[in-house]
Amino acid sequence: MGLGQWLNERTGIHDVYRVVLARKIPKTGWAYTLGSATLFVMINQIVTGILLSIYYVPTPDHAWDSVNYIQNEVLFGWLIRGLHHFGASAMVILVGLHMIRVVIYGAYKYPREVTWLTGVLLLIITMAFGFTGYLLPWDQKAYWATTVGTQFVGTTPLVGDWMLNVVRGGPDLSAVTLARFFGVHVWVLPAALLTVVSIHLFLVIRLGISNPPWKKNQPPLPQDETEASA
Amino acid sequence: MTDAQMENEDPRELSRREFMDRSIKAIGAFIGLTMGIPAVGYLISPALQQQPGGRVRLGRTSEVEIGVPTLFTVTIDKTTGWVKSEIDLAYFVYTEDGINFTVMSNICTHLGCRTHWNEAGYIYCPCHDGRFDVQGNVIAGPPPRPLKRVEFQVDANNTILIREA
Repeated sequence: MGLGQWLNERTGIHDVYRVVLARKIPKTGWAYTLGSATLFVMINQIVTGILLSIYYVPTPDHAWDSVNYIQNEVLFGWLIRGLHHFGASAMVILVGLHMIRVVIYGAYKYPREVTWLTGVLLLIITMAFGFTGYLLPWDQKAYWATTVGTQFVGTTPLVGDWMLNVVRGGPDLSAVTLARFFGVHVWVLPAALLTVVSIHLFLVIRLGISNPPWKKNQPPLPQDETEASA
Repeated sequence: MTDAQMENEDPRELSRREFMDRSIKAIGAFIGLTMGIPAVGYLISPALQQQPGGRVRLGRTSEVEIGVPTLFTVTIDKTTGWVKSEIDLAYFVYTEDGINFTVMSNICTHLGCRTHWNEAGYIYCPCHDGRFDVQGNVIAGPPPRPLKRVEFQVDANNTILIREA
């Protein structure tokens, strides 16, 4: 008995492969790859982010120096940091395009409303990733961009000042701000991201992807049981 | 079955599905390698970087006590990663006649603790009760080797010079 068979008998891994990776989908087009593209960049961000945390230090004394060390001293440091840096922009762009595709194709409609809602959460999480990550190099651009970005919070009526203090960990940007942005960036947001992405993907697999609008009048595909029974 | 029949009329021919399957796996492997190899280099990078060690003045030969390992401590500037810091190096210098000298590291060969001279007549490591004689040879405890001898030079001013470790 081969190892694959041994494992399958105990885990049902073949079924998982068939349902998750080899599942049948309707004939669509390139626009339908945006979600997978986002997922790919997300994995890139996780891998390169973990690698960056091997050298990065979130204190005002050492943040910039450690980033400089990664960029100029560590073998392939420029590549790892570059992938994370440009991957962040790619992530925001892809999430946006993915959302636009879902809106235009009407893919958020019944029975996929919860997939849409988790997608909205993922959009917010992605933006929060971008915002908190921007501060971490602790250079001039990071410092002043975050000064401006957090200042928005202060314009909230009545509780603005208090909220600004919470976000910054004090009235001004400081060591406390850098540390909490780092903590949010590498612990809070990844935990939230993985949780919500799991739900999002589960729903995508469970419900199947939607037919393009120009195929709406065709009978549902036989494997699309949820829609067929609805 | 109809799909398979249509796509795979000649069983020796590579079907469209099979071609796509293999292509995706190949591209996946390529991406994995282009990420994986740099990642390994990135992680082991600090171990590959060597810092050229300059010469350090340990002290003057006249400061070495006859017959007793004398501990010399020098402070050097060292950059580790992104931090510039001062590091204390400590070496025993031993001589019996004031002419021939032995310089040895005070780092215990067992598990790297710092040793010191004990007035009872041996070099002592407090971590696991290791003991060395005045020449650095093991006389008791777990150390597997004598204290590490260090190459040195004595210049015209009778100053002992060693290379930075």
